[in-house]
Amino acid sequence: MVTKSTARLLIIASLVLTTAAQLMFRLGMQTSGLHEVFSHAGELDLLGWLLSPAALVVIGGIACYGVSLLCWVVAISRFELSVAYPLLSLSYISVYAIAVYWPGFGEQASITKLLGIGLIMLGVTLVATSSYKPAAPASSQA
Amino acid sequence: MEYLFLAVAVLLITAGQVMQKLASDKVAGQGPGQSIFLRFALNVEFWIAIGCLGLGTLVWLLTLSSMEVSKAYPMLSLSFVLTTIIARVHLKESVSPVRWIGVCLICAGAALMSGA
Repeated sequence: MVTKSTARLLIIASLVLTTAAQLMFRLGMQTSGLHEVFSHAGELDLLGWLLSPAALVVIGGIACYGVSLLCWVVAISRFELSVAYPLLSLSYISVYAIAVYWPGFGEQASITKLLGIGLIMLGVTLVATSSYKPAAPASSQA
Repeated sequence: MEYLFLAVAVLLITAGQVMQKLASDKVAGQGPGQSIFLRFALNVEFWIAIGCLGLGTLVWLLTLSSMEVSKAYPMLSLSFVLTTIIARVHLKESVSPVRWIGVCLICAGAALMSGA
């Protein structure tokens, strides 16, 4: 289907796009989210919100997310899921780093969060490596 | 409230994954004949999976309106925990001790994050 090196690039693309998607979701939602649309019960202005800059960021995020899923599905035809899932969990670190250190987000840096992320990544790695045997064709899990 | 949104998002995303699995099992069991696309298009489980994932994404957006993404996003891994439980109880798959340890670590990590 694709060569191994293409699959490698697709995994990296998937990681980058997932990170971008989650950050765009947060950026669009924290300013004037769907949250606001729903909280004004009675005067539901979904159309007004959909035309706002915040909504465009969220829609951009959905586009990134879609392309990321596409890259992922093609990539795992050549990658074991036992490797692919732990690699994807690296996006927890990239999302954390940008959300904390980019002033536009200004999220709280914390050792507790980093410890939590570390435990979760270790857990995902154990779940993935114990569930998908290296010999099994990875495509059947897609 | 934000934890309710997070829990519903995890639930819907997990349901979507399990329905995907049921859909592809059914399609694989049908043997050749129709095209693979048509077989998925006529598959109820496939459309339920799409619906769950779409709705899950919407609830996930609501979660992010009131919760930091650096905190909420890693907790989406709780879907691995639910998937494991469903695979064991409903799909009767065998689950290795190492996988249970992984599940416990994800729970511990999420519990730690919730206090951050």
